[in-house]
Amino acid sequence: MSATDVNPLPRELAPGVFWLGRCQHAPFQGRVLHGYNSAFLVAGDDSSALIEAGHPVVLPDIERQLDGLLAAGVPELRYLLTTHTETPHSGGLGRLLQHFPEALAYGPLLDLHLVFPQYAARFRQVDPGDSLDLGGRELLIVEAPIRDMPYTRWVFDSRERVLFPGDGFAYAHYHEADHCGKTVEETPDLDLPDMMALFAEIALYWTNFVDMEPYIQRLDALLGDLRVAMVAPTHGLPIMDVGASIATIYDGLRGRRSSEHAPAETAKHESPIR
Amino acid sequence: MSVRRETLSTADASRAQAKRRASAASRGVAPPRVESTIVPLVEGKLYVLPNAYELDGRVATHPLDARGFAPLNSYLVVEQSHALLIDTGWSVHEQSLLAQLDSLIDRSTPLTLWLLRSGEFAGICNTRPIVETFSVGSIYGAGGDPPAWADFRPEFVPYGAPVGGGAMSGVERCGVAVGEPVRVGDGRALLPLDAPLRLLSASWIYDAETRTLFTADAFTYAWQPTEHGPWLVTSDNDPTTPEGIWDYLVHSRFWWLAGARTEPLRTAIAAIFDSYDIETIAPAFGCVLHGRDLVDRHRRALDTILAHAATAPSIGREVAQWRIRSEA
Repeated sequence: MSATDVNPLPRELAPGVFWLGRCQHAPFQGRVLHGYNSAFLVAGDDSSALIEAGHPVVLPDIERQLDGLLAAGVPELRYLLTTHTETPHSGGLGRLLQHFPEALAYGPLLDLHLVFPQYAARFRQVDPGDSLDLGGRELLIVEAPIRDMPYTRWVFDSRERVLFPGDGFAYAHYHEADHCGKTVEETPDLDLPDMMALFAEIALYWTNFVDMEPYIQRLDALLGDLRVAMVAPTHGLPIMDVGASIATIYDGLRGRRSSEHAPAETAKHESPIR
Repeated sequence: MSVRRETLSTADASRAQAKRRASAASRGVAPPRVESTIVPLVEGKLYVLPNAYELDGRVATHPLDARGFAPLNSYLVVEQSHALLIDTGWSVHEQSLLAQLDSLIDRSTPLTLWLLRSGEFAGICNTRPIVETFSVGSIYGAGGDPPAWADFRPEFVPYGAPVGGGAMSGVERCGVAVGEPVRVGDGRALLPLDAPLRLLSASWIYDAETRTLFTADAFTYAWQPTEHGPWLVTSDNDPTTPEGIWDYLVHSRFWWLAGARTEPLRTAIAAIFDSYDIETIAPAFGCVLHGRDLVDRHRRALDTILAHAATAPSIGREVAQWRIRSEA
């Protein structure tokens, strides 16, 4: 897998919410399959936060985009937030802490004192309910209904009501279909359930063996409780209209459910925005 | 087979270690206390390079309330004048791991690296320093670009710099295909297997020469109260209990087993143990399980636990509420 030559990022998804990264591609059944290991810069009135620290392979791209945004006037980067401590999500923490000496790292930072020991004093563990004030907007740490590592956190931007779900909502896309840098709503031919199933096969192994309905129900409740307007996943295209797209997402999650498990209860398919 | 623990004490190893500590200090990395221990599983053929880390509520490999020490293991496979290293440890173990390698192979020895879990820091952190120090010709990994995936250490590749460059650029990138052996020297074959019990992408490996099954993040549940080990567990000193194994599994990365459909996992694990002559279970972290009786005991214990797991209530939703600060 390597980076491609065409990169439409960074892209401002909502006021002060910037999508950073670059597609990584792999040949798959005669087509070029793309995946993201994205990071997101959220700019408040006083300071900025980077959500996810980047996969090692795309660090130079993320750093270049970050430098450009900061040079253009985005407030100082003080917060480095990671959803969990896999390399695609936390790989860039060391380089970022090295380059931004005033920044602190927040997240479920388990193991990282063994990986980046020189920066351990700048690590801050977070739990659901914690929040960071960027000035004019807060980032709320919330539970992660879909996750692999048990201590995973999702992040919610209070101002634009954007949910950053890390491994949740994970799916690839096709390069030749011009999906790169687009949102789910801009790629109507993207087979979301199929792409989610493929990603789960590779990365969310456990979903092959469990009944997904309780997880879908909890996810549905969280989206409703937070009144999520937009979803910015680390491994998928952003979802700008949650109400319109969520049923397809749930279908994708159900694609991994064993046929031997009957759903205990069907989660709501209507818009989670209440 | 002779199994023993050794502490490195040769003058050469000490001198090399002193140089590395000075180098680490110059890069702004506080040199950790080095405890270089090797465990020869089969002298001249296979060595465990364990490096202990503390279970202090800050590590994801174990339940947050576990206390004691576990080894993060690398394994050196030696065949004639070639060697293959499975996994490359935590960053804090850089000097210890280099000293362990220095005690076993010459720096000009053709060396292959095999990273079992590229998506997790545990086991890949010292890929760059090993490539810069030893004669690494190729790196195997589950997918993607293994050298670049492991090239995140800012001491070596700072902010803004390209990854996978320098010494890494000359290393061959090799994918792993289940069932296609990876050769070491003339004739030694390591067989990659589908990892039936895992969290993320991972491979298991079988080494027929030493009758060793490398199990990545499975069978990782044995640890010790002190940093001195022992890291090789036999029937005489097995610290585990079925209750302890179950508690470990569902309070760490295998939280999803409770209430899961485990029959496919049991079948796949049984197929491996039925197909291969296994004398040692070699996990990525945690004590190595050695001896036919012990291997059989743990195989049966895990099968019983997985059967029980299918009848247990799921904890999938409550896991999302687990808190670090109050549980650590």
